[in-house]
Amino acid sequence: MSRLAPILANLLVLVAAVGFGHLLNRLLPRNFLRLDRIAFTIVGGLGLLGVILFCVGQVWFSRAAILLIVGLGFLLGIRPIVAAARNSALIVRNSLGPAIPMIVVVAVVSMAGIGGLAQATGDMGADAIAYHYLGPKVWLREGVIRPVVDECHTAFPATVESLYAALMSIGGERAPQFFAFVGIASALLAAASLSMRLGGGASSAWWTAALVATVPVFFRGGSDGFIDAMLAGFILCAARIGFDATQRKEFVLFGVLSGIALSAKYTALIAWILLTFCAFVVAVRSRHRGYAAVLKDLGIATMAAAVIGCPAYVRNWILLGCPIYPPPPMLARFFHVKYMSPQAIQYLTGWIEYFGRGMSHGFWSFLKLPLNLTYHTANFRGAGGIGLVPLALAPFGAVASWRNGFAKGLILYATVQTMAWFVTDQEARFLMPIYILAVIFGVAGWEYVNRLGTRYGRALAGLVVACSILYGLVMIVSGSREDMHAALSASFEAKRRNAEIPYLASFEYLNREPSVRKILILNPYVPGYYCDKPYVKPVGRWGEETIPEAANLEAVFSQLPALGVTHVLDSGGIYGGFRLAQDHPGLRFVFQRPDQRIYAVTSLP
Amino acid sequence: MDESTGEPGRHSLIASLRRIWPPLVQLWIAIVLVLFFFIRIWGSQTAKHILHLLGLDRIG
Repeated sequence: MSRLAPILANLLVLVAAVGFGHLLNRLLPRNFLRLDRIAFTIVGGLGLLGVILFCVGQVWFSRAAILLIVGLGFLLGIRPIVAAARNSALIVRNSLGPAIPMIVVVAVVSMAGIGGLAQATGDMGADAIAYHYLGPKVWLREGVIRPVVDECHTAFPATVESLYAALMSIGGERAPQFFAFVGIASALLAAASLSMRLGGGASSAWWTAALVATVPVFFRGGSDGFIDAMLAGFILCAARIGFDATQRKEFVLFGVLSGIALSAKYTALIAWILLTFCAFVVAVRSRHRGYAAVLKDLGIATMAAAVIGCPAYVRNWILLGCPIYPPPPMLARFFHVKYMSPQAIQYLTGWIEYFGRGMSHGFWSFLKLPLNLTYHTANFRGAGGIGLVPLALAPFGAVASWRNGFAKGLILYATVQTMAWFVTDQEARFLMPIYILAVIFGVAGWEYVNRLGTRYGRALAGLVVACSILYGLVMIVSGSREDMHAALSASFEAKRRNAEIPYLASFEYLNREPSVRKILILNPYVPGYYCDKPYVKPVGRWGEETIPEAANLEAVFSQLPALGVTHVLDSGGIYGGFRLAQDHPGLRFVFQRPDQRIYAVTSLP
Repeated sequence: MDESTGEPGRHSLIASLRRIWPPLVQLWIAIVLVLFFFIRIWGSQTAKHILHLLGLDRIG
């Protein structure tokens, strides 16, 4: 049952997404293919569902609210799914492609699904534990979506995390992990749709999907709670409609999808501006439309994007003092935020700059970027690389598509987005839409090389594709082997749980004991995600201060009765020594393990 | 040969480019593959040394 519930929850959410996504179908152009419609329905639907959950969750986020929203989507989704089921034989027949890429896609998506059935483990170094899953867990407990103030990253835009919360509520804590299956598959649909727009047939679409699926960074960015694959799906769908848009309703859809991207991650702010700029250039240069008409249409698209994308930013401004929280240095000068001192903001900024330094920001480094991204993504925290196809074949895809205005728009977007990424935050995952575009052009380049008709050219291009897929599979299997093992073996999962969950014994005690009602966690690096009961962490890992004068332990203790804290978790080990003496007045020592101590609050001033 | 001037001209340049383009494409793909085997499969000091000589020593 522990494995079935996450699968059923994801199925329910997927059907609900189809229901909401089907509403977008009216905005699609008539000439869109069935694959385009499926991709937009699922990707757009997941985004819309997330946005609705987030907005309603600002005032009401109980299980009833979640079931009501998901149930409404489910009801809306029944009709299109029944209609698709009636045509299923035709859809399947038209969708079939070469066996090898189909097998590869099924294998990779299955690995994501199987690995996604394992319990999430890890310390605060795992983003999923630190904030992607922490936020949803706390929101469900509190019945409202609010930033968890001891972890500033939970104030990020949270469309995908709102889906995680719904999944967690319906299918338990494993359900968001299994969302990797849905997220990766939907991003692959968006990639396949773009590939067909560049002139490829079903075969190209399948090869594109297979090559994207075996890009290790893509797999990593779609699993373990990461939302980057899903974000790439939103951005690619926005590009797909935006660069082809001629009618007002198509620009509105471009705005809606851009807004969904904005509501999913801060980095989409730059992507949105660049997409709008590229859509303008394509409309004026390739479609020969007048400036005024295009600006008017893009103005409407911008309004749609603002309406869909703004809730998280408005919420942050009202509750935390700045639309973007934690604020980047430029905004920190103008906005005085809550819970984070200037020193804490500086500390966090320093880490972001350290993580995003890549291989320097110089001009020579930019020229070497294609080589560095292909051969040494580790320097970009790259999780295994992007394969050979982008470097070896994408340039020829660009040559082959050069007369295609839509392709030129994609190339322009890829170029300016890469430049923006290069000068800002060189974290490999953040460039995911560009890797996907590079693979799409790579497949077009492969076809171009085959058309050149030289025997060696064909053989070499085939070898590049084979190496990319095999290398990607090796990296993905080696990276997700433990997850799959844990999903299939209860004993291994228990072993991994013991090894990878810090202070597990304490969490088991606190979650089990009925006398424990609210916990004070003294160590900033203790992951609150594993705590099933309300907790207070005076200082977060980035220096967030949740209680006035939180750095002063006595000041914190003076407020314990008002906070309703019943137990205190103190911990030592690699994250620093114990903060309390064993005979601290007002506390009774009740539990101890190596590097872990729990006290019951007896009487405090 | 440009027929109007009798000099090698634009048309012959395009013809030459067309002739050498397919081998250039093959060469590029071959270089990418060779670098891949050097860096990812072989991953040796020799590969790193060659890349150092090429000024690409921060790769690999």
